[in-house]
Amino acid sequence: MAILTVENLRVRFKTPFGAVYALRGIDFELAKGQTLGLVGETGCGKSVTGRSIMRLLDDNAQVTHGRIIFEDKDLLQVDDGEMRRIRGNRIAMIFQDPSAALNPLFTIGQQINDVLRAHASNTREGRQSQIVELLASVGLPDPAQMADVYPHQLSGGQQQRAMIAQSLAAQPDVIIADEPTTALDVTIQAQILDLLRTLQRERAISVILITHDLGIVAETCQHVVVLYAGRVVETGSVAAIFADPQHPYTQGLLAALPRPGSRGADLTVIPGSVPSGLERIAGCAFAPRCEHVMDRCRGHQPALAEIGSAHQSACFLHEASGDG
Amino acid sequence: MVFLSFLLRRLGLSVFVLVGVLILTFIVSRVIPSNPAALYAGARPRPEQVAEIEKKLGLDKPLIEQFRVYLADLLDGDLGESYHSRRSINTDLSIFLPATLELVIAAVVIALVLGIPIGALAGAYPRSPFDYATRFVAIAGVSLPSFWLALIAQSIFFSQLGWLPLGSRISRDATLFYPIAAQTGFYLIDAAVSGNWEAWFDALHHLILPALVLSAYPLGVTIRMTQASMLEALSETYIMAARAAGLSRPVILFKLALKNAIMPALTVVGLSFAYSITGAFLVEVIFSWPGLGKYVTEAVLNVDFPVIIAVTLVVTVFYIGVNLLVDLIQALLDPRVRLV
Amino acid sequence: MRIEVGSSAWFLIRDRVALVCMAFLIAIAVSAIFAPLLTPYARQGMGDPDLTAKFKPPSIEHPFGTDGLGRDQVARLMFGARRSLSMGLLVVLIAIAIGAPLGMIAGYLGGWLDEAIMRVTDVFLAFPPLLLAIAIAAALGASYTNAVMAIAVTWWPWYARLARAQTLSVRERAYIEAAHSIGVRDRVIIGRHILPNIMTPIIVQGTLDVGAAILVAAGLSFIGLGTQAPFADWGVMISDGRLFFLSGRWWLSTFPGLAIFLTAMAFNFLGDSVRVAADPRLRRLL
Repeated sequence: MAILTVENLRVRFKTPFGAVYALRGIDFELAKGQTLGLVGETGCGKSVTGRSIMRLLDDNAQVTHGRIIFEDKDLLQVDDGEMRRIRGNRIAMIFQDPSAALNPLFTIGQQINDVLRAHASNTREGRQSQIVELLASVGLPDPAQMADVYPHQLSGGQQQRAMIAQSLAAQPDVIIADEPTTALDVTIQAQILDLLRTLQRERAISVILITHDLGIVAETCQHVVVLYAGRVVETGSVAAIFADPQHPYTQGLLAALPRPGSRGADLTVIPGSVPSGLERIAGCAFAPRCEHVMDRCRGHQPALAEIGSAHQSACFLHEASGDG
Repeated sequence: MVFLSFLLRRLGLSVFVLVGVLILTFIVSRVIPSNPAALYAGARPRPEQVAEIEKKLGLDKPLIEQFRVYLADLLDGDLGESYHSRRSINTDLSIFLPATLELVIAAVVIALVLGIPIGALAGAYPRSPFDYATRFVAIAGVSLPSFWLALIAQSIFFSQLGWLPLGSRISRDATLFYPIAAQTGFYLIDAAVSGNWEAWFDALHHLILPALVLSAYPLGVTIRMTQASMLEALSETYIMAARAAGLSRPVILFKLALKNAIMPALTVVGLSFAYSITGAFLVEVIFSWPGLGKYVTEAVLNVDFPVIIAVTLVVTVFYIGVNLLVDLIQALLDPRVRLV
Repeated sequence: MRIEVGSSAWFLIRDRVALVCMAFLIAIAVSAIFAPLLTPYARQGMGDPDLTAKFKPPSIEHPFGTDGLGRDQVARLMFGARRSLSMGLLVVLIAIAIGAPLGMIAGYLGGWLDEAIMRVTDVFLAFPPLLLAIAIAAALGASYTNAVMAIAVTWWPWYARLARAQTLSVRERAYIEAAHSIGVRDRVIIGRHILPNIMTPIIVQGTLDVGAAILVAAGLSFIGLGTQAPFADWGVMISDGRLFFLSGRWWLSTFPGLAIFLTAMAFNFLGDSVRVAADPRLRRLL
C-alpha cells in the first residue's frame, strides 16, 4: 500500500540563461514501511524531487505538471498552513551536511523544542523529557546533557544523530533523507545507516533515501528508483536491480561500484556527464553516453516498460531483445 | 578558553593600533608639514612667534627625540595648548567632548533602534514594496550631505513649523532659571540625576533635530547591513531545515534568522559611531552645538593645528574603544567563540 | 566565464534604475566638461562677480538665482561639478592606485610583508573617516589638490584589503602555480595574471565609493579645507549660502545640496546594481 505517490512530476527553473528542466516527468510510489532509494549522479534531479515533495523549492522553481499524493491529498494543492502542519509532523527531512543544517546559535534541545512546539501540544516539562528520550533513541551519550549543547560542540556523526532526533520529534510517517551520510567519515556512515535502519523498523517509518551511492542502497533499501536527467530510467526491487540491471545507465553505475576484492583499475566510469537541463532533449537523454546507442534512441524517448515482476526500465534495448 | 585567547589577541591588536595611531598623528603633525612651527603658530604668525614655537616644540631636535617628548606629554595626559586662544586643550575638551558624545550617542541610538528592525523586515520580505522603499530610504540616507540636511531640517522644523529650536544645547532661559549642575557634562544625565526636569526636557528638545540629522547616514548603513545579513541568514541550510521541520514563518524569521543576522549586524554599532562623529564635525557649526566639531572647524579657520591633532587623537581613541567593545560583545554572544 | 560576463552586462542593462542613474551621471559629466559652451555666464562660473545682480531669486534668466556676488548659480553649479566630480573620482582612483598594488603584494607574497601592510591598514582604519583627512589636509594646507590627497591617503586601506582578499582567492589557481613553477617572475604574475582577475570587485567597490568620496570631499570644502575662492565646488557653495539660508535666500544652498545628493545617490544606486550584476550569488538572493 503506497503512502506517497509521485505522478508525472515536472519541475523547471527560471535562470538568466533560460529555463532549466530539472524534472521531466517522474513517477514512483513509496510503500508504507518501505525504504526507497532515489539514485543518480549529481544533477539528475534527486534532490529536486525531495524538495518538491516538501514544497521547499527555491523561488525561481516552478512545478509545471504532476501530483504528489500523500494520504489522498495532493501536496501540490494543499494550502500553505496545511503544508506547514505536514512538514516535520508527517513528512520530515534530513540533510546532507548536519553542521549546516543545525542552527549554530541554538542548543540541540532548543532546536528540538521548537519542532515539538510547532506540532505537539505539550507542557514545557513534557517536552523536556521528550527531548531527552529522543536524544537517547538516536544513541547519543548523556542525552540529558546533550540537550544543552551547541552544535559546534558535537562531532559530525553526533550532529547527524541530533538532526535525526529532531526529524523524529513529531513522529513523522515519512522521512526524506537527502544524502544523509555523504558529509561523514566512512566508519560513521555505517553507524548512521544502521541507526536509520533500526529506527525505520522500530517505528514503521517510510523512508526516501536520496543518494548517489548504490552501495548504500544495497545495504539499506528495499526498492530503487534510478534517475537520469530528470526522468526515471529504471525502477524495481533492490534484489532485481542488483541481480539483473537492465538500463545501460544502471549497469554503468553498478560497474562503477567497488566490490570486495576489486582493485581501483577494475572500476569503470561512465564517460561524459549529465546534460545541464538547458537544452531540450529529443530522444533518450542517456544516448550520448550510452555504449549500446541505436539510431532511434536519438529521436525517440523510450517509455518505462515492465520487464519483470516489480521491475521497469526505459530503454529500447529490451524491445529489441524481446523481438528476437 | 577560546574566548580568553580571543580577548588577549583582540586587546593586543588594540594596543598595537593605538601605538600606530600615535605614530601616524606624529607624522601628520611633524613630518608632513613643510614648516611645522609656522603651522603651530596659527594664522599669520610673527617670525619671533615661530622661533619661540620651534624651541618650545623642540623642532630643532632629531625626529626620534621629538617623538619621545610627544609621547611623554601624551602619557602625562597633556594635549598641549591652543595657539589661537592659548587655552589648555585638556580644559577645552572636558567641555566639548561630552557635548559631542551626547549628540553622537543619541544619533547612534536612533540609527540602531530604527535601522535594525527596518533592515531585518526588509531582508525578511525581499522584493516586497517595503523592501524597495527601504532600499531607497537607505541609499538616500547615505547620499545626503549632512550639513545640507541640517539646513533643510532647520528651515522645516524651526522656520516653517516652529516645533524645534534652531540650535545650541539648551535655551538661555533654562540656563538662567534651571541651571544644570555639571557632573558628567552630559546634560540629559546631569539634569536627570539632579531631578531638574525642566532643563532635561529643554536639553532633549534641543538634541532632537541635530541627532536626527546626524543619524541619517548611520541609519542608511545600519539598514543596508542588517538587510544584507538577514538575506544571508535566510539562505542558510538551517533555515531550510527549519522550514522542513514545519516551523512557522514568524518563528523562522524573527527567532531563528534574526538571531543569526544580528551578529554580523552588530558591526554597525562601531560604524554608526564613526559616521555620527564624522557628521558631527560638519553639522555642529550649523546647530551652534558647542562640541568637538565646532571646536575643530573653528580651529581649521584659525589654522589652530594643535587642536586639530588633539581632537583627532582623542576621538580615535574613543573609536578604538567602541570597536573593541563591540567585538567583545559579539564574541560573548556567539557560542562558537564563548564555548570551547 | 564568458557566459558570466555576458550575463552581468545583460543584467545591468535590464536594470532600469541603473540606466536612469547612468543617464543622469552622464548628463552631469557633460554639463561639467562642456560648461564654457553651455552657459552664457562662463566667466561668472569661474568666479567673476557681477555686482549689479546680487542675490537675485530664481527667474527665467537665472533659473537657480544668483549669489552674493551676482554670479549665475547655474554656471557656478556647472563649474562646481568639475571640481566636485573630479574630486570624487580622483580620490577613488588614487586610493585604488595605492591600495590595489599593496594588497596584491601582501596577498601574493604573504609572510612578514603581508603582516606589515595589513597592520598599517589597521592603523589607518582606526580613524573615523574624515577626521584623519581633516588633519592631513590642514597639515598640507587648504587647497583642492591637498584635499584630494588627504582623502585618498585615508581611503587606500579599503582597497588594499579588498585586493589582498581577492588575490588570496586567485593565488591558488592552477595556472598561477604553473606560471610560478616555470619561473615566471612575481612582477609578471601579479601584473598579468592576478590583476585582471581581481579588477571586477575593485571596480564594483570603486563605483560604490565615488558617491561617498564626493560627500567627504564636499565636507572638507564645506569647512574650508577644499576648493578655494574664487573657484567653488558644491560643498563651498552650500557653505557660502548657509548664512542666508534661513533669511529667505534659500536658493543659494538648496541647489548645490541637491546636486550633491542626487549625484551621490546616482553613484550609490549604480554601484549597487553593478555589485548585484557582478555577483551571481547576490542575483539569486535579491
